[in-house]
Parts: sequence; structure tokens; C-alpha cells
Amino acid sequence: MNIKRIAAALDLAERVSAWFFTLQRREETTIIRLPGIYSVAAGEFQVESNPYPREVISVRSESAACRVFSEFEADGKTWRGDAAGQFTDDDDASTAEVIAGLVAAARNQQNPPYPLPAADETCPDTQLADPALAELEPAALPEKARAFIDAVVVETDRLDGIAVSNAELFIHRLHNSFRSGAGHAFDYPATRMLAEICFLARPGKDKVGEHTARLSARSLVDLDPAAIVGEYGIAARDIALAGPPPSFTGPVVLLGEPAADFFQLNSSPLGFHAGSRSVYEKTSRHATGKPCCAGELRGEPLNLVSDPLVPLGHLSARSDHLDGGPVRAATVCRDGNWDELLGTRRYHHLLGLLDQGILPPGGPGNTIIPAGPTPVRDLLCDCGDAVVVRAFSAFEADPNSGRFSCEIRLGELRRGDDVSPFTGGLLVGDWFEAIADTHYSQETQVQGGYRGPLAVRFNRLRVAG
Amino acid sequence: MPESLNRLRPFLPELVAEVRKRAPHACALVTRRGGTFVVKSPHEETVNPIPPDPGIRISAWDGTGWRSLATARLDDRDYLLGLARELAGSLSVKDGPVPETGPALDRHFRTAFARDPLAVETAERQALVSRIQAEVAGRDKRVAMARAAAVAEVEYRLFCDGPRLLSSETIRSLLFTVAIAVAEGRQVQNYDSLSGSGWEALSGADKDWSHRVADDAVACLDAVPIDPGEHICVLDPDITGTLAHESFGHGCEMDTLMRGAARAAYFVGKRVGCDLVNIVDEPDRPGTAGTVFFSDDGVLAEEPVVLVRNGILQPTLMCDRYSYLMMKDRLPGLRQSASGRLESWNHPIYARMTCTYFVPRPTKQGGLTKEEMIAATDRGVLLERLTSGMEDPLGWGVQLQVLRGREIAGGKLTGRLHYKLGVTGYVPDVLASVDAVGTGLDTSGAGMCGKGHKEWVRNASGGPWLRCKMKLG
Repeated sequence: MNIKRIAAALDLAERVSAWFFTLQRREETTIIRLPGIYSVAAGEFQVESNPYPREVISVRSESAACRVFSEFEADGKTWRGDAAGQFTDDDDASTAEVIAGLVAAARNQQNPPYPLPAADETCPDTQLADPALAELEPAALPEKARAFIDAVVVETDRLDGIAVSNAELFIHRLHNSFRSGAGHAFDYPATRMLAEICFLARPGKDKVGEHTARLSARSLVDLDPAAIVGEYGIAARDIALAGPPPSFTGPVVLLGEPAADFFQLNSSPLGFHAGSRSVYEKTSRHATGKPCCAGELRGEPLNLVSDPLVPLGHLSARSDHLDGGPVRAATVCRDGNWDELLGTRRYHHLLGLLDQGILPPGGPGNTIIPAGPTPVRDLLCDCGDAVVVRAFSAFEADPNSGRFSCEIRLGELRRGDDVSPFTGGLLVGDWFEAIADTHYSQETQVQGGYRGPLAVRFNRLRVAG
Repeated sequence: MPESLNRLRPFLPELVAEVRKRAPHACALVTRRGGTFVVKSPHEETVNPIPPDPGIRISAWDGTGWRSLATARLDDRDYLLGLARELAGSLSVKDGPVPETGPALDRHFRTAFARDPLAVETAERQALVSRIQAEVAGRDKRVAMARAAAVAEVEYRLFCDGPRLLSSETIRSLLFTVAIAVAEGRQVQNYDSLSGSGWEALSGADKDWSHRVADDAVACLDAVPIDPGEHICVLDPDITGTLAHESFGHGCEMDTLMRGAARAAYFVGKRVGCDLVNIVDEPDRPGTAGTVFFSDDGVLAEEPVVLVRNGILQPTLMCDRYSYLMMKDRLPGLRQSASGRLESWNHPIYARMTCTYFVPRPTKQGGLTKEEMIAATDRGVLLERLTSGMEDPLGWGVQLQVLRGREIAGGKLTGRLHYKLGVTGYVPDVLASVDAVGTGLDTSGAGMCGKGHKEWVRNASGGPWLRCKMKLG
């Protein structure tokens, strides 16, 4: 597709007051492998080796995602609407048809105008592509994917009683070209890998467990087969050996992925209440400078930054997809108190923040929490009996109330040196009450868009066994 | 169908024939979307066409698996023929089973409805969502925020595997509203939705409907915590459907079973629930959010897939073509079903559910209405408004998240509410505890189902009202 041709069509289109689009050229490789085919005979699983991939998909494609804005008069006022669409080819007739459809949609929206990004607002650069991957010959991509999956299978084979039951790797190489009617123009590559590796453990007769690694990275070196097997394969084995859940009230440590699940801004109550839209709609508990937590702060205060510009970050981006403007880091929670708002121009304008010179950061970026003062070992040991959550089935907290009640896929009840793994039971609590009495580990981790402590201890939560 | 797809349709056999020069089996699938969504928020209106995201995947079977090339470039026949030749040239064909190509068939399918939702003027859609938003927001001053959205959506499919040339237009209507209530430092939400094929499916959105959404949100401001533990639960149809989906559905997807990740494999032909438990997946059930006319690997949707009959797990599980080919000789009784689905043209095809539900029970066989079920419950909780579910096919756990529970005591609703509940259980225990099944079947719930945490496809949820024991927290 010809980028100049699309830009010219938007520039010349009638009733378009502003526009931006990103042309994306994509090369993707997907490989799925089931290393063993399982069936049951005489009440026992039989497994036959399957050396061939279930499917290999190669994608070569391009399309352009665009947004147009249109201003109009109605009822004696000026309004502006906007609509997003997609160009799938660049011939004049189809481009004009897409633009006309978007303009018609935009002019059905009686929304007050707000300032759009000015020509001198530049989108900061950040690294979104792994050069080693971006520069590979296209034919080498499937080989890279195969090599990764083979390495995971080989690493797993070193462990007794653990096997890979399904391995999927999606490699995406993108070349993006951003253009706007205000004159913004920049090109940038991006890479992304998504891996889903399911481990099966059969450590004994009638004992079976499965655990799945769901990983994303922009750089292949961040997908370390040995580390993946070490964490998720072992967790599968522990699930297989786990007993029933206890009923427990007291210290609960979220270790690894559950800590990330709890704090990820794009799904946590914190992200909802820190949104400028929620504040304007009066459905937010945000109050700048006031405590984020419910009740008296008894533990360490939360510091949390939304940063969409982390190099090679899972949620990093060059521009906001709603405004087409720059994104920036924002301190959502400083020393346990509410600080900056997330969100886009419309609600920053309605709240009067744009007039104060406060530019919107955009939606939730990568969640950044600084390391705490306590080693994980001490977090686990200096609180007496505790429950450690190593995996949730799916963590979900109600964004409004902050309440959560989520199934524990793998947990441990620790009583001194005695560690009893369990599976099942519900971790029950209130998100805002929980962060009032929290301790963060010195060790950190990267889990998707989360960069923060490896372990977080809440001093009083409930497990309903 | 769009003219571009009408032009492409007769070209697909030529494309497939090019791959068949080397491959024992080949097929092509084209997908494209369309429609509009409108939203009314307190301070914002949205009207947006649904991006078409057109694309084609050309697939070859090499005796052991699929090899596919995919692109969004649909308008260039020479380019597509080049892809087909490249795919054929790259194949290394091995000995192995080969998918059966059915008898020659050239057929187009289209959703039936009384009024085409795609033809409804934008102004009419906007009037509907504006009215609902105003009715919900204006009902009670404690409703701090209300939002309403209407979606008219079409999914186009073209499929060809040589002798078979299939196409479909699947059309859906959806109306959704959410209310957030705030008072004295508490904040809760409620939602409701209507869905079906035609615009007429949204006709239930009257003022009473809007007011119920607001009233139920406000009522939850006074909700009290539940005593965690096992309770007798009366499940609404949406939650019942998701219980069927998460508890048994995922474990009956053959590509999960064949990789050793479903405990159901041990139980084919054995008891997994009480006699009252009958579970099916019905891809061609008209008017649901999951309705398909044929699978994405070209199997006609002609009959329900029976998963559990009278408490016994059946061998007729849900298969995509790959899992059927690999397992048909390993699992006697397995049948090819129309369960192969993909998220988008550049994604893999997996065995997926469409509309999985507990089969209702006629009155003469002991089926109960919702009211009878409540009246027959001495102590329990009526659960409403699902927010999510998660499967555990190997551990046979299940997690459902629901917005509220209504206390039942002495066969009556007491008025006490519990807000935001986690619902779990060990699947065989839950299914063994089913002691009442409703008489009606409501499959109007609409949602998205992931395979794990990805590969999202549209799904219906629903079923009859159901009573069983589950853990609440």
C-alpha cells in the first residue's frame, strides 16, 4: 500500500478536520506442536511421540488502522466526532469509501471538541523491536520458532515425570509507519513473541497436574527455555502433588505471576480509579495526595508508575491509539497516595487538566513498582504461618468495589519449615484494604507488562478452603 | 455479501486446486467482518463501523499436520495463486491420515431474522441507546454512571476444499447496558444484555428493563459478605451455561484431550454426573452468539454434539479436523463435529465450543421453573450475572465470577444480597450434586471464549435454571 496516496486522500477529503493512521506491514510465523498424542487404554494414559507440528502458519500482510475527526455545527454549537477504521488497499475508490463511512459515523456524534495533538508535540522514541529478530531473513523465522520449541521440549525431558503437552509460539515482525494530518510522521519496527507452553506432570500413579506458561516478549532472549521449564514445569509437578486447600486467615504472599496479576494496571481496580474518565464520571475514589489504600497504612506504601515508554516493554507504544498523540510515564501512586491520572485528551480536557498544561499519559502502560526492602526469603519466613500463592486460575477484582474472590490454582501453606502445596480454594479480600498492609520483595521480575517485586506479602487476607 | 467476496468466491476452487497438485488435501478460508456499534456514555457518544479485517488462509495437509499461508491481500488473484504455488512447493508430504472431502456442495447460508440489524439507521440505534442510558441514569440519584451500547455485527465466511464451496453471513444484534451505583464510600455495578439475530431481539429493552438494571445496582450497595463455604446454589441460565462450558466443555475439546490435558479422557463411557445431567454443544442453534453454519475447517453444522447423556460422558466429543484425524482410531465412537474455529484468518484452528448447555428437563420428568426451584430450596443462594469463568480440564476445578447472590431461606428470596462472588467446586462433585433442572432453555447470553487466555471466539451461554452445590466466597 502506498502511504503517500492514503495520506493525500485523507488530506483532500471533505469534512475531515483531523486524521492519523498507522500503516502496518506484518510478517508472522506461528508454530503449534503437540509432542505427544495421548489416549486411554485400560484406564491408563498411553502416549505416542508426535515429532511433527500440528500447524505452521506464515503470514504476510499489510493494512492501515486510521482515525478521522470531523467537526460540524448542530443546535447552534460546534461538535466533533471521530471514528476508527481500516484501509485494506490503497486504490482511490476504496480509500474514499472508507473515509466517507468514517466521516458519516463521526458526524453522528455530538461531542464537545477538545484540543488534538499539535504539530510540535512529538511522540518520543522507544525501542520496540529486537534487532536480532527484526533483521532475520523471512525464511529463517520458522526455524527460529522451531528451535525455541525444540529447546523447551529438550529442557523438559531432563525432568522426571514432566512433559510438554502443547507448545505454541507466535512471532510477529511489524513495520509501522505513522502519519497524521498535523504533520507527524515516523516509521518504526516492532517485534513481539507470544508463547504458550503447557506442562503435564505425572509424578506418580493417579497424580497428574498441568500448568501453562503464557509469556510475551519483544526479544527472543527474554524467552529462556530453561527458566520457563524451571518455573512452570515444576509448578505442574507441584499441582499434581497438591492437597486440598486449607481455610486460613493471615499473611498471604503472592509469588511470581500472581503478584503481577494483582497489580497490572490494565486490569486492576487501581487502573480503573486512576482513569480521568472515571474521575470525570464521578465513579473514582481518586483524590490527589490522599491515600490509595482503604484504612490506615500499616505496611510499606505503594509506589506505582504507568510507563508506556519502557524499551522492549510489553505495553510500550509510540503514540496513543485514541488521540494519535504522544504517551508518557505517569506516577499513579506516590508514597501510598493518589497522584497522576491516566487517560486521553477528551477527559483531561473536560477535567481542565489540559488548560493547566498537564498532557494526558494515555491509557495504562507498563506497570512499574520499585523493589522493596525485604528479600523474598525473609518475606516468607518472618511472619509465622503463611499462605503462598504461586498461581491463580484467573485473578479478577471488581474494578468498582475492589473486592476479589479468586480460585488458587497452586498455593502452599507454610508452617515453619513445613510446606504443604494445595490447589483450589478462594483468596478473598478487598484490593484497597489489602494494599494497606503490604510488604514488597527486593527481588524483581518482568511478567508481560509488569515490572516489579517478585513477591508481595499482604499481612491479612483470607483463604476459603 | 460484499462485492469483493462475491468476486472471490468462484475463484477459491482454482486456488485450492493449485495446492492440491502437491497436497493430499487443501482448503481455503476467507473471513471478513462488518457492522456498526454505537455507545452512549454520560459525556460521550460513539458511532463506529466495525473494522472489516479481511483475510484468507490457504492450508495444505501434508499427512501429519497443516501448513498455511495467510494474507489480507484479497484483491490480487495472481498474488494469491503465487501463494498457493509457494505453499504447494514447500510441502514435504508424508504418510498419514487424510481429511475426507465431503460430496460436492455449493451453498450459501444466511442468518434468518425479522428485521436486518445492519439496515437499521444510525439515528434509530442512537435513539435506543440514548433512551436506555437516560432511563438507567435517571432512575435513582445513587446511579453515578450509566452506559448503553448497541452492536449490529456480521461475520462473513467463504470456505472451499475443492468439491465443497460454502459461504455464510452470520448476523447478530447485541444490546448492553451497565450501571455504577455509588453511596457512602461504596461502589458497585450491574449490567444486563439482550442478544439475538435480528433487531427484534432487542425489543425487550423497555423502561422496566432499564429500571431493573438501575435498581439491582442500587440494591447491591447494601450487600453483605457471604459466609465462605459450600452452599446450595440456584444458577441463572447464563451461569448454568458457563458452568457447562467451563466444567465440562473445555475438557471435551478433543485437542485438549489428545494432549493429555483433560481428565475426561479417563471417563468416556463412565458416569460424570447424576442422571439429571445432559450437556450438549449445538453449533447450529439459531440466533445465538455462537451460531455457525459450518466450521472454519469446513464441516457442516447439522446436529448437536452430545457430551454427557444422563450423567454418562459420551465419546462424541468436539473435534477440529486435526484432532479428529489423530484420534478417530484411538477413541471408538468419535465423530467429526463442526467445532473447528479460529479467532481470525491469521490464527490457528482449534476445537471450540459454540453454544454449550445443560439440556432442560420437561415438567413431567421433574423439571422445575425458576419459581418452583426457589420454593423448593430451604436455604441457598440464587446466583445472577456472570462476569467470567475459567476452566481446569485436568484438575477438574472450575471458577466462575458472578456479580451477585440473593439469599434464599424457607423457599423465598429474603432480600439480602451478596455482591461479587467467586464460585468454585470440584466438577464431579458439582455435577453429582445437581438435583433440579429447569424446564426452559434460554441461550441468549453472549460472550467471548478464550482457549486458556487467548484465541477469543464468540460464544453463546445459557441453558435452564439449575440447582447444585458449589463453594462461594
